[in-house]
Amino acid sequence: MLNWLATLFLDPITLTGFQRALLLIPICLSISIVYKTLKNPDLRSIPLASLGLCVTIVVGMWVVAVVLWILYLLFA
Amino acid sequence: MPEPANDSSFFRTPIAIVLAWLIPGLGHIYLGDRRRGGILCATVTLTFLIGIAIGGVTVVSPVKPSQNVVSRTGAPVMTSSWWFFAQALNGSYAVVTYQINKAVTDGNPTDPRYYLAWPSGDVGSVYTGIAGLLNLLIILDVLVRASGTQVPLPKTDPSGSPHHPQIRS
Repeated sequence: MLNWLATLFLDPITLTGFQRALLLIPICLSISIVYKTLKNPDLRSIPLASLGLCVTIVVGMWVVAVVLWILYLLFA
Repeated sequence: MPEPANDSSFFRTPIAIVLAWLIPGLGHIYLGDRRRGGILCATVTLTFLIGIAIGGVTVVSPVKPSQNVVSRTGAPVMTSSWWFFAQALNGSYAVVTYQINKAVTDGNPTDPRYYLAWPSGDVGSVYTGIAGLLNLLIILDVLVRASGTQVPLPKTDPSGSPHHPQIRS
């Protein structure tokens, strides 16, 4: 277990295909939690507010990506 | 007229900022907001660790090879040393990781054996860099809270009339 952990932090893991897109979710969740923790005076409202902001960011970025992809297909 | 600051309040802000830089969230804990500091510490620490787990310790380095070289896996290297400025905002995390990086690469991070793999290296750089930029937000929040200049947003009570809470000192 310790060897696996040491290897994990020393060597890069192999990422393929759709895994890169899925890695958008944890980073957006981190940004959402930090932002809402700094802004919200009530800590109990943080989980729901963070989840809502995270979904908004991820969906927004996917919409932008799809629009740019369609524009690329139309004009490339 | 503001009261003259005594020694303890004079050093309170710089100590809180340094603690916030050293370990994310520690500045808030120092200022007495333990639960908020704990949440911030856990979130930024986890983000940084995920970045290191994805890209390895070599993602935290000011020296990166140019785009014309390939990694040890044969994939092109597309990282930027600009991310190091963001990573350095993680304080002790960046210092410790960079020391491990130097030990692993024998102080020669430009050796082709230690070039970052793509895309793991880029994703790791982004995660650790974003963790640093989030800590910059936390440091700025600590600065505002410690200096007592936070201006709260006006709230509206159920009757519809605006409610202006007092500014904390």
